[in-house]
Amino acid sequence: MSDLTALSGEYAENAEFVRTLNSALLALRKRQLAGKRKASGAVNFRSLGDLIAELARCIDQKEGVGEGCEAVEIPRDVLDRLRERHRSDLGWYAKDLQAIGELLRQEKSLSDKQLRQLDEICEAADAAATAVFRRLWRR
Amino acid sequence: MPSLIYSLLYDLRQRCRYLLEEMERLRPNLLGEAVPYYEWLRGEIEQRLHEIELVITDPDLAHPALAKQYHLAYKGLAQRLSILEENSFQALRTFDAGSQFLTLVVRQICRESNFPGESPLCSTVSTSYYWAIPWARLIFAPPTEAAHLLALPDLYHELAHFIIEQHRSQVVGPIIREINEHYVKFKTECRLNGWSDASLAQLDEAFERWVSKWYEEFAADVIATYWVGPAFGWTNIRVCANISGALFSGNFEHPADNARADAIERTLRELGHTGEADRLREGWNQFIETSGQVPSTDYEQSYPSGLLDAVVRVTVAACRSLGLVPFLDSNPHATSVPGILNFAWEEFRRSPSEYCAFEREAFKKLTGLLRAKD
Repeated sequence: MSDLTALSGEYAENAEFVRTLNSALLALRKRQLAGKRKASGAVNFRSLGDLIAELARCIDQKEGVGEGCEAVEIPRDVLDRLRERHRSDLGWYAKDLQAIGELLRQEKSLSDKQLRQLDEICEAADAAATAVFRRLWRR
Repeated sequence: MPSLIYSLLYDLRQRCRYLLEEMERLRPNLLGEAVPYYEWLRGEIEQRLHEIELVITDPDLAHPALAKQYHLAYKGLAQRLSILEENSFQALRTFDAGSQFLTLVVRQICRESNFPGESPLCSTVSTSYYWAIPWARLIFAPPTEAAHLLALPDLYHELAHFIIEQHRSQVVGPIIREINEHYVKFKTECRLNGWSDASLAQLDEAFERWVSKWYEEFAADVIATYWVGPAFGWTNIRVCANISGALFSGNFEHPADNARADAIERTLRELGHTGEADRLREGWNQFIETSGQVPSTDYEQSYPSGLLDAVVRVTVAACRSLGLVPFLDSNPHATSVPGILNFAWEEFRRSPSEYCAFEREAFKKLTGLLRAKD
């Protein structure tokens, strides 16, 4: 009944998204530093690829009511922050993410630019999680 | 000089160890009902400690190219630990007879309702009415709630948030689909009817609220009503009488109280409890009359009747598919928590002045029920 339950749920959703993405990004960067072509077994790159492809699909939704994303594992606040940041190049950005998703599904290497794009998603998710956490913390 | 994150990880490790030591001190005097939660929390902290050790001993920790990822990993661990310290540990440290009683009530509710997973701990230290942290398996209630029955149906609402968090694809997915479909259709009609840009923007705003936050409160209300029946609706009226301002306006977190009351009533109808739904409607209408408030002109646009029906329908269907046990009836002889709570509400409405004596007897019945099943 209190707003705190909604906030704690929102925090959990955002924090889990950050954790998943950040662990994957850490493994990808480590792989890149080691000069390896294949991914380590620590992260399920196929499901990460699916997640990024789904994110691309959601980002690509045309603006307007009723055409929102139904993917329940992508926090709404993360989508909003990314859409806001890429307001001027949303279509291109979605295509870039789609390509990243496809490479991850095939366990192929990502370029520096693509890793930075994953970083950006991680940053948006962290900003969303942190904003909720601060509201919970300062209740 | 060690890196900042490396140093902070040691701080975090120390905090985990301290917490485990403090928990050891709590253990001998802990009431039995809190022991399963104690064990869970200890495992959770040990897991965090293990994760911290893994990062501290990671040979790549000092690599500048990975600094941001390690910072985020640290931050996630630190935030999670804070929540455990300030809520889970605090709940154990203050676990008294009131918390014990409500934890037993929650356990009984979980048994009766076929709640999936472990039943949460209930702590009576809340200063913000009822609320929960589902991932930390905690429900908070105000300090004197263990001595009253009329607000206990709100425990079902909090438990519903656990269901929503743990079964998002089954519960949330269908609701979001309904909201999307409804608004695509409605906005198309609005455009054809020549709505102004300002009105369409208002519609977009309502849609944003539905898919961001409101769906969850509606779903939690529907699930609570599915479990405990009309008692939840009466508890909702009581809460609204205590704290509500504008009955027909929502905020970003919560939809309008009138829409929530409407969804509760529709849930009772969906479940076939027409008589109870009618009585609840009368009670709510009486409350609206007392408040003297009327809906704004855009109320129906924000809370369309068809959408409320659809949300109720798919949420009830999700409850059924998850095997949750619905409320049956208000049989006064029912030996179940919903039975006792509904009978309590009936007695309270029938004779408020005599209710106090009734409540004492009802508590005896509830305590007997908890003992019998323990």
